[in-house]
Amino acid sequence: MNKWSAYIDQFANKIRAPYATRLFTILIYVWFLAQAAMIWPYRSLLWGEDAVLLHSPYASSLLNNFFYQLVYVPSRFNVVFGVHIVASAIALFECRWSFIPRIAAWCTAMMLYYSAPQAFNSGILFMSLMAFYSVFVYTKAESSWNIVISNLARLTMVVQVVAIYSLSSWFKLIGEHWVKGDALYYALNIDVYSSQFWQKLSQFPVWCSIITYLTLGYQLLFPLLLLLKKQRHWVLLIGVLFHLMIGIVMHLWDFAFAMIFCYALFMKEEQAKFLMPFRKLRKMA
Amino acid sequence: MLICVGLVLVVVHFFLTSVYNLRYWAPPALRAVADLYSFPAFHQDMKLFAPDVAMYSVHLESRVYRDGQWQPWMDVTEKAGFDLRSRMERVEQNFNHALSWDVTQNLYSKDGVTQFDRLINGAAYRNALYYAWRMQTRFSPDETYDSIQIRLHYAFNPPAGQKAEVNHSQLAFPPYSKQQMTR
Repeated sequence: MNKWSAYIDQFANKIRAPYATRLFTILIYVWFLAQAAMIWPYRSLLWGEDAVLLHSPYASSLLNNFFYQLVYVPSRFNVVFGVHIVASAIALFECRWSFIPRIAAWCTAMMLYYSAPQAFNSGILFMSLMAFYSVFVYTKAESSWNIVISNLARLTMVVQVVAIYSLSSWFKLIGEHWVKGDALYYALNIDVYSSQFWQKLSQFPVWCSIITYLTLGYQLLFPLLLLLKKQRHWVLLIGVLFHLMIGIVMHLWDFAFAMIFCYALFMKEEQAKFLMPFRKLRKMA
Repeated sequence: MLICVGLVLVVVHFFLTSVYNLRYWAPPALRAVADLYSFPAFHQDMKLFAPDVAMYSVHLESRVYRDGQWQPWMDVTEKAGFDLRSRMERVEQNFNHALSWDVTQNLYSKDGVTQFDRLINGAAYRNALYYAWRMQTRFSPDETYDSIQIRLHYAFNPPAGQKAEVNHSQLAFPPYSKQQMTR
């Protein structure tokens, strides 16, 4: 009982893992900026008035009309894209009013996604959700009210990551190829994701099965492995290598880095402090 | 008090977004509430994190009818100058997989003749056709043509451990006239 009351007391009076949380919020907006840079050459093809995508109909409602506005007013895309980049750049820094650029970055990310969903993978949905939670993060909070909200936002981010691993491993278990162990074999043979070098690996189906099952096992056990505090850095290192492999083999770098970045939430404070990109930001945190 | 309210909000948020993701197991009334809450602001398709890996590579190809004859089939995205790793190829792949899924659901035969009526009235076909038409218009503006036709080019991989060759197969959709497109 005392342990719980001490925990609640700490939750209300002290920002939990400020460096790790701060590092993660920076990485969210670094990811948005990198995504914007990668998609820059294709912007008019995806969102311009003569875009190559046919927009699907959507139900009219206040929220839908807001998030889908680039569908019916594509001429706004330059403004929305510009606001997204500027807001993401400002959101890298933390101050009392950081929630404003963070809301702007989240809203514009969703607008860009909804008017060209075919151009993205689950990485943007995950990062947008995290950007929404980060609106409530303020690692320099001093009042009890702000500390609780910031800690709750961090808790929500952590639960979200665990939920993604749990639900995606559940979906893999009810799918066909992951349980049979040939998911990696087929993935290596899809030409847009793989290359001739990696396709040669698929000639060793036993190894493909072993790696498929290890991947599935890692995802299934991820929430439990996080509880091993002393070995957690090894768990995260394996996860980083696993997601880097997705980047290298399948060229899904945006998705790979979205998942790697979320590991910042689980880092030790001294490690997160060491990785803070700017000294000034480190001081601010 | 604030912690309790906050925790309740977090629990409700995760409950509703989980129902939204596992929607087919949820009762309709609960699903409606979850949809209302989760879409569009908290939309997340967790199935995207665990895609059922396709057993084939698939590409969208098109050809145009010009000068009284059909021109050769060409990959829609490659013809426009984009490589396999480009963002536009990712766009094409999303169309291809949606259309492939629709093919499994809506392609049928009647009196031994393949019927496309259900397919060509679906969103997946319209999206792919529009993409092919726009890419053709944008990247080959000087090529005048009367009609355009698209097809899916599959390369089916043999099952793991078998030394069979990759099996190529094409599914061509009915031609579409430019007049229909710009009407």
